Amino acid sequence: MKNREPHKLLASFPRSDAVVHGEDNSWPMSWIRAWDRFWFKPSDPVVVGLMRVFTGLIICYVHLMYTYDLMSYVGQDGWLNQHEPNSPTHFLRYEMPLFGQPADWQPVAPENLEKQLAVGYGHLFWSLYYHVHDPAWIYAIHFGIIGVMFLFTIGLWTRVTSVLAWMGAMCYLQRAPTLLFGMDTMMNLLLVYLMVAPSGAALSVDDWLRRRRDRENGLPDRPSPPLVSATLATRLLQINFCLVYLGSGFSKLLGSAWWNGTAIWGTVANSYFAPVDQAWYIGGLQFLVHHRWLWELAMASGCMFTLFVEIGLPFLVWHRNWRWIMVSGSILLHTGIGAFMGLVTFSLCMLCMVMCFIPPEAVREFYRRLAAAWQRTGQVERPIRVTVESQMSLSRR
Amino acid sequence: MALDPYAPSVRAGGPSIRAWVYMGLGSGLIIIGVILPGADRGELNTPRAFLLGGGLLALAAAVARRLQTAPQDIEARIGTASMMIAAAFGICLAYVGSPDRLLETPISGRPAEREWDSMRMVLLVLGVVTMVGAFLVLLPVIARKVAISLLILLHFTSICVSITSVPPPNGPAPWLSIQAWAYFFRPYASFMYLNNAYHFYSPEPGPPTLAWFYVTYDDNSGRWIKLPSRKDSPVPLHYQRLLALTESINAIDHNIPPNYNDLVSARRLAGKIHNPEISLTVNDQDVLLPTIAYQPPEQYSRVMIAAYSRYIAHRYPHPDENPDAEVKTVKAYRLVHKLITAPEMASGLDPDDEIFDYPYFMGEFTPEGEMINPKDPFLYFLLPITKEPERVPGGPPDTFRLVLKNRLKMHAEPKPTATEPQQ
Repeated sequence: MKNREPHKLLASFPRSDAVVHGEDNSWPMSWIRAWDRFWFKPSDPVVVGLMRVFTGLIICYVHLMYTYDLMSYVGQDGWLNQHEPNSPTHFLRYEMPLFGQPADWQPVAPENLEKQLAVGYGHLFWSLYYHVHDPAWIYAIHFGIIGVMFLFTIGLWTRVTSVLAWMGAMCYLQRAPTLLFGMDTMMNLLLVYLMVAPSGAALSVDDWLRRRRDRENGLPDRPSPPLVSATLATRLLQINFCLVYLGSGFSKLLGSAWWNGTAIWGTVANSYFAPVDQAWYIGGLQFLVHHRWLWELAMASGCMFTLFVEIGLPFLVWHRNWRWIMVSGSILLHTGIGAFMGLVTFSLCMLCMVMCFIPPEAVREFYRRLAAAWQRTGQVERPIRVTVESQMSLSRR
Repeated sequence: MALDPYAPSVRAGGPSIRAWVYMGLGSGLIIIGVILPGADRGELNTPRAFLLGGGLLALAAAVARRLQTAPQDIEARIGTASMMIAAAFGICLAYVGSPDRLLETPISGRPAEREWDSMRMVLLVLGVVTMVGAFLVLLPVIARKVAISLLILLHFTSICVSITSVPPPNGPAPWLSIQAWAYFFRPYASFMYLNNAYHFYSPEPGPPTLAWFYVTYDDNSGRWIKLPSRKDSPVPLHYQRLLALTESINAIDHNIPPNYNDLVSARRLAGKIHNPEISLTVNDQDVLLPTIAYQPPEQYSRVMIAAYSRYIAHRYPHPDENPDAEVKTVKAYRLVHKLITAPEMASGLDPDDEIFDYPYFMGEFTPEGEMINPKDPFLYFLLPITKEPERVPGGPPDTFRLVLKNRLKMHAEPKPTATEPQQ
């Protein structure tokens, strides 16, 4: 690698025409320009459009699954009931003490802990379901939210439905916080950033309507142009994804099982996650434990692979030559988590998030080939659009 | 869009007039919702919610439309910002007009719940966000980029604080992270649900926690409800959510209480009196580590286990024979299912063998979730499940068989059925 300084690494990214000519090249200015390019250089919104489609499908599925036993999640008599006294929702929202640390070195007696260190009480949870108790209305709201999520998925009125889809998802997340797991965290991240993104600018009904309007007005049919907000949202997703991996990877280094190579066993032999009720699966585990060399190799390589991907990706994914290796590693890791630990929706969310590292050109090219293949089969005839898109894609490259 | 200095989709004929139509419609609906009578008495809340919700939706459509169609010159930006300020004003109006009735009698030192309070909080946040958006629209491009850059830095600092504010295994979390979270980032992280530390399977992949309940009915019959259970969860996500739910009863206070020895004595005595006898260890003389023998939950887990017991009592009436029999009590147990090691599996043990379960008694509750006896000597103590050698009756003198002693069943079920011979 020639350029080891971060600002030079960033400068190796394709440059915006607006900022390269004749400016001051001192290091503060080059850093500022690198920052500007990193966050604010317009890019093709097709990646966020693709992510919207996949995220939409996932959230529609997740929320449709709430329908089974809906009242136990969000009803007044659910797992977290709203009946006084001792209502758990009241405790979580108003009474649960939240602690800070002492501002000086004086020790705090256990009996004075709450008095001296509590900085507040209760979480800022919010949900329509805290206020609607009639089962008929709960079901109406539930299906209304799923309807909004469907509109978000197909990309209709996306600027509004993206916000409503996030708010709808939050109504469940904040109503029953003890029923959440990693999938919900990742789903929320996707929705937050797709709310910032112009996620309806490509691969959406909004985009189709815009093109139709343009055609009716005699304007050329063209894909959505590059947008700053597409870059901003993609970068937010990328940085957050790296932080997820760093948090997860570095915290694993604190555990002896990740050092001695037995941690993977702790996940694949966990009968409450892994499919140990399947004969093929338990047979595979039995085979491994009866061949120690094989077992040790499998477990150690699994640990090393996990740590390499989680700690390595945040640093290496920014380098063009390493990007596809790290993205492939991430895909492999989450496919494994889905297959061996049963966390399929969590893995789908992570796979959806890792899409933010795919260059828009690759998505356009894939879309172009798909459309061309579709056209060859004679089912769709849209030659002009394909040609213009492929030309734009080539010109950007 | 106005945040986008290179926004391309500006309409040739200037900003859409439709945005102002939406604005007028939204404002009108909100005003009708606000002047609708009965807000202080909790009346007409359904039409009020529809009017305010519909009005807010129209305001959102107006702002979205304007941002997508307005050009970037200063006059158009002032127009866009004016519309956003008007929308913020509409949101404030909806805040004022939404129901705010006190739902309970305030008790000194205990915050009281108000009608629609969480939705009012959302309106407040929306109003502030819209005002900040209007300010950003007015800024020139460079200043806007600086402002957005600062917001990005704040956002990721909040996430980094969430990641680092979890204590490592043998020490406290960084002081700065805790203070920053407690005093500055907590409202934002909590409101947006961005407070996960992402410490997945760290520092070690831990054993799963399970919640088992034994429901006793009026006719002295009983049944087990075990969470989670694959066969009772036809939807995979339902199973995953119940697995997450059981983790919420796993917040343990690891401090050994000063009266620990008294608690152990009381527990041993109660075990001897119980029929059948329930020893704390295999022969009741072995010393068990206090942190393994006794695991009292923190307040959070105590509240949750009471709530779940209440739910179980209401959800699971008598199975079939006696539908009139009411639920009398619910005994709650937290089980830590130790993970099987590779040598154990190689020796032929089953990962689901009962000896891997470490059950702790979490209390006996009324159907309304009140703990019946907070001084129960078994409370928060381990009820070990073991396989113990027993002389084969009628067999040769030195022949033994392993007998499963399930002290959990002995404790929960009125009729002792827990001693099962093993092959």
